[in-house]
Amino acid sequence: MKSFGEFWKKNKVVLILVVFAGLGILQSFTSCATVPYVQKEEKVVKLVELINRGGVNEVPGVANTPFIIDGEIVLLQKDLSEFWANLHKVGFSIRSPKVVQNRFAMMEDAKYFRDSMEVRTFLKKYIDRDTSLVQVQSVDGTFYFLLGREVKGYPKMMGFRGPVQ
Amino acid sequence: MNTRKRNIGYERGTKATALFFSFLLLFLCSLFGGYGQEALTVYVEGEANAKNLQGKLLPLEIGNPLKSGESVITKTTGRADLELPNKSLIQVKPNTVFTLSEVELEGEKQTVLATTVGSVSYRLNKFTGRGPSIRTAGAVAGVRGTDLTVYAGADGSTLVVVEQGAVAVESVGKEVTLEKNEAVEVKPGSPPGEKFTWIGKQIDYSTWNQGKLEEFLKDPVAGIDRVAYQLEVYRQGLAEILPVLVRVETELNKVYEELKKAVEAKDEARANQLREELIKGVGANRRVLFLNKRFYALSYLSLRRYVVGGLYLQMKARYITKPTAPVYQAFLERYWDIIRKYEETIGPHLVEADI
Repeated sequence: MKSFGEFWKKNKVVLILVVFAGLGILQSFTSCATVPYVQKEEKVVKLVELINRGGVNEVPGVANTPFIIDGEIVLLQKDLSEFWANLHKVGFSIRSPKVVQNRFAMMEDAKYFRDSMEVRTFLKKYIDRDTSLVQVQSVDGTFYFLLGREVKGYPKMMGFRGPVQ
Repeated sequence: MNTRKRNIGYERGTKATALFFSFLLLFLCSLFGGYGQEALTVYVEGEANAKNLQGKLLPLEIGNPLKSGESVITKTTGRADLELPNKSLIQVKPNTVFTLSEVELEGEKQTVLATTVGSVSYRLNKFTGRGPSIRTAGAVAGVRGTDLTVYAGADGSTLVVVEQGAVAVESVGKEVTLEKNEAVEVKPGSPPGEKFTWIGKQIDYSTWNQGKLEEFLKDPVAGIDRVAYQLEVYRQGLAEILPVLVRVETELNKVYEELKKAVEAKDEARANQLREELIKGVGANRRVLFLNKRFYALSYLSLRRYVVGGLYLQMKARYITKPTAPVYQAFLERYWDIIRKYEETIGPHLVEADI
């Protein structure tokens, strides 16, 4: 049986390459936090269900200011909380939701909210590589969401527009 | 020898240019900065943010200065106390947007303490020079050595309650003077109402604001028309300033050019005369006009965002299941008219940091 010293001498280069490749793979696993976040469709549906049962205000952090509703930048948390509460009071719901578009958000997505300097500035300031633009089609019309990483099991909402008929 | 002469000439030219640009820099600093009133954050409770001059929302902390042009935005649990250099105290209550700014009136700077929505209490000491102007979307109060609380409602209404001293509350050219334990309510675009006596516990902002909102919801079209009237006041104020500002800026550019030539010609007497003109003459005019232009544009933005935007959210949520309701359609017609005017006439005078 060959000693390890002899084996090392013969396969030094290969072994070093294997170690480096292993380290590379390990690093890619440990740096998941820096990989852009992609929304999962089932989580979007879960969020829509939360809106439908009027639970947005019960999950801290799922809808925080600054927020965009249509073309309005909302900076007062009270206004945002009242918006979700009022939606529930009038029996609003997004029935049979289906995700038809799900991709990284861009500055150009202002057109889905309001193509104005305000909305473009909002997107420039607040969206990052973890923000997605999600289009949901339902029997109640089309809705656009700006969504970020999960908060307490739900995608964090940063923007809402709809229904667009 | 010639080379040396050329070098000396070059050095002198460089020095003159450097001096000119140093002066220019100082002058520009005097135009755009360095004139700011500052308040110091002395107490923070719950969630309170500051919207800084770069337009960033940052958590407000004790010891943070609040510069002219910056705002405090408190959340449901947030409170912040600010202190002015003369030890006057400003207490920003929950769900409030408060902005510190300055305007220039008759050659004198005036601090503007504005509450767009929410409530703010003031314990104001005597000021040297012109006292601050306490503003909301629809009313202006002139004060000196006074304790008062200002409530700014979701519909643009204002309630001023005086606890100590005297306050003159003005709206659409009409003025009411309030003494200790007196209060007055002002609807946007309307003169102050009848003053009334208020003794005892502080008014609960949430209850008062809920009443204002219910009043608005009874007739949303009349409600948004009142806010539109106030927005028009700001828009017209800006429209009056703009042509004068363009003329003054043309004059200013001419003085710059002349100064540049005088510096190059080493005509020190003429250069000093022109520098004086830049600081005290045309330059001072420009500074006043620029400050006031910013004041009108930012006042419009605040009212449009926090009051009109807030009313839009109220209406949208309430009518989302019946969007063809005539009252909602009539409201939207007015809302879109405001947005169009804002984007055409106010937007060009705002910068990204304002948004």
